[in-house]
Amino acid sequence: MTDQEQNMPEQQIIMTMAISPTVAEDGILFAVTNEGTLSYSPNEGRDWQPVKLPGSGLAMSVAVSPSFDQDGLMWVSQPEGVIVWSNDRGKIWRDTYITRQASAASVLAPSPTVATDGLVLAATLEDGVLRSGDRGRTWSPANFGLLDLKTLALAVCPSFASEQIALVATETALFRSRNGGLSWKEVGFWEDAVQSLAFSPDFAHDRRAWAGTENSGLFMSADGGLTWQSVESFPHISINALAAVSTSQQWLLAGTTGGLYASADMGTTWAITVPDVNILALVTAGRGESLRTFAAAETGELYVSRGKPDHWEKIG
Amino acid sequence: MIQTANRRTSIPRGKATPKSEQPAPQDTDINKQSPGVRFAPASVNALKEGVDWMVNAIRPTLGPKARNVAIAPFYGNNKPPELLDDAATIARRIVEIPDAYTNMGAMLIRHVLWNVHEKVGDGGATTAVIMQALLHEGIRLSAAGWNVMAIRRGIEKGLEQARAALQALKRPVETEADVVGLALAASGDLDLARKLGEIFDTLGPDGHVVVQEGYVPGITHEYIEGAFWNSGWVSSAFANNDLKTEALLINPYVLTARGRIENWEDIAPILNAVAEQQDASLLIIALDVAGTALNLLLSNKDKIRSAAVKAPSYGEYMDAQLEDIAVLTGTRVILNNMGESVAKLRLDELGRARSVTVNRDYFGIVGGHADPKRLRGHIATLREQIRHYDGRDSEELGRLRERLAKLIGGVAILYVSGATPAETIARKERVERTVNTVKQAQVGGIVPGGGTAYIRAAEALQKLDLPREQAVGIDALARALEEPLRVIAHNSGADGGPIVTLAHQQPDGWGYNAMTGEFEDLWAAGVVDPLPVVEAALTNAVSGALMALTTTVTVHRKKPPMETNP
Repeated sequence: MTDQEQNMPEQQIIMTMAISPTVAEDGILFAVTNEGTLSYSPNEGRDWQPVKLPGSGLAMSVAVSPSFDQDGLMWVSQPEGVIVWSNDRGKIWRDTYITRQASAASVLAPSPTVATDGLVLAATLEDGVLRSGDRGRTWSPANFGLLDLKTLALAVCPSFASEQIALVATETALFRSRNGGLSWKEVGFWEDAVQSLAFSPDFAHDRRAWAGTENSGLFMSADGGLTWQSVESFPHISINALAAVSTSQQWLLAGTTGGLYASADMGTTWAITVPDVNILALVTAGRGESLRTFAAAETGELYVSRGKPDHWEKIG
Repeated sequence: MIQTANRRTSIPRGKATPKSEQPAPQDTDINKQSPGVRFAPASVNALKEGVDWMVNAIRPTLGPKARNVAIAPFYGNNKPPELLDDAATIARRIVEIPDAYTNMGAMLIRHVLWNVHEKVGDGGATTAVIMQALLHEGIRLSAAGWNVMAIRRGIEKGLEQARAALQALKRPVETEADVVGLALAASGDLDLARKLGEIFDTLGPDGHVVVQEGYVPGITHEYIEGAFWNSGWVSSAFANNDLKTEALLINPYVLTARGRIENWEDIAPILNAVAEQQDASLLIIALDVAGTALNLLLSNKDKIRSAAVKAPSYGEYMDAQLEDIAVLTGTRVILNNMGESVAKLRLDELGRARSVTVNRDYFGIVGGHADPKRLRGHIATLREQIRHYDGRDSEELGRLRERLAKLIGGVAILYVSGATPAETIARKERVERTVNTVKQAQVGGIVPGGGTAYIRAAEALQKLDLPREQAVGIDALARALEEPLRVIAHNSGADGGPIVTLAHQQPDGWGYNAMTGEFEDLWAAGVVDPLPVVEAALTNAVSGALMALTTTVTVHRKKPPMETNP
């Protein structure tokens, strides 16, 4: 990380983000751009600093620990199939060991209790899922039950510590694990790619999860990801990102090619809150008034919502 | 003296016990007894006596409060005895009893029990007690002057009715909670039950689960990923790792051919096409790859990474496995043995995989580029074939399950360990039995356990209206159907007679739980049995009893050849 703060270069588009769980206090946001740059913002996306990475220096995806404010732990996957980690908020990076050569990881998903269980999952472009049980120091393939290895999306449930439920979407189907990624079982096959996944913040009780597809709209599960039904009220447009957040009520957000959609009743009715932009990434952290949600658009713009995600402000 | 066999080992004659301990040869060694012929009723009575020998050894193992049977080790007087609670295995260990005519009865039930074991993997003790009770009833009726063939017709009609009644009791095993409940009831081990719940939830009812002795105390499990076939490279020169022990191909094209490939002209076009692709490699799976074709691959291996392996297995099984590989990698099997030309193949006709590992013993494929619809269709077909073969051809069934496991992602291994080797073996057998019980239940459903399903089946027999000479057969079967509950109650320390009487007065789903000593809702208590096991035990017991009952002449040969199989 350098000391020089600057705006995100205009020609760069944020492809994926990671957010500090206490972003409302520390303002920390990380972003990976279409040019493979990892950037750091200390003030909720207003200013950015490039983060220096080892090897090629390029990033593919980034994730921070759910207890990032205490342990400073984060991971970055690089295009050459390398995953590096840092426990000082990105100042010094360390290599990890991957037991079998794998392609780049497009999604990194730490367990909500990674500090104690050490579990982190990574969805790779062509080699299925990698699993680490030691906070991302070593990785090994965890593809038992996956019928194809080209993964597109990955999510772990908020009650992962007790239930160990995770979902991974491949090019051809959706798979569910109930043992922390040790094995997978096909739960959805719609002849359409699932591009985004989200669990309800109150998953332990309401058992809800959502899957956004490329052409077939939105699907919902009300039984912990075992069975899926189409959400008829949602238009059949490409859903690039999903986020479920909790304020005084629960919200579901969908970043699509047609804009940012929000539902205050967990997917029954929808309103378009940021129209006519292709939303590529969504991240959220906090609860109630401390809730922050960021949406990155293909045009290079970054939007933020503070508190209830029905009003959005363009940054920069 | 009863002779025992340890794990399919035949007993050398004269070495079963020290000579000094052997009783008079004429009395006990059936090979030295005079050949002869016996007629009914002496023949049937001798068969009954043999059945009684065997069943009395097995009877204590029935039910949740079963006792073990200790079998002396075959080698060494200082070895611990083998502690068994599995009827079929106990029967299998007993390969001879003293009297030649009695021995026939014992060997008859031994084969019946092993047949049940082979088909459904459990239910041996139940089979034994039903068969014994039915044989006793049949002999009693025959002695009272009833026609044996009429009794037989009555029993056969009763069997149909009883099976229909069992089917009517069936409930499916679908959810993970169902599996956990069933496995807990079968094993009494919550940790094992939870692990099996997870494994079967992942693999489905046809999952390939292997039980092995482990080193870590308790029961652990792991999933082995990938599809591997037991067939190695045609030449070790394909090795490309530092130790020259393995060939690793990344993003290979996959050519599967049913015939031999021997001429360089056959593979030169496709090898050139692969060479034009960036970082590509080629795996050839064929009946054989030899001659100038092999030379061409090896002489170009520095430019084009490749490996050639022989098709796994042979005959129809080879064809089936080649088809599996073709589906898994998104290609088709080239019928070059039927005249199809390998030389005319285009690159887009080959399969693809993410990686392939080949060594001298096996090859493994990870990340085959299967057509999703075709792969799922193929998996569905295999599952259907497994349903078709289930309970009929265990060898074919095993092959189908192995093939399916490769397609759905691999096998799950349960490691079992105990404090001592003897405990490890006993626990492993219990785990194997539980795994089998769950598999059977997932395929065929469950019925109330502890002998209660047979009580309901016995009640259903009363609805049959048959001529009197056949109706006595129905009554005999009804009494035999009560025997499992009677024995389970007895083994748990209760009086079987009153328990059976009370069981008939219970509502649907209720019965005697030998673990608690109470009558209760057996569904809720998790006291259930897999229907295929319950049905197989009944069917085989009836078959065995009728065979003994309708045998009027037995012939003893001098020095019959010793067989320990099963």
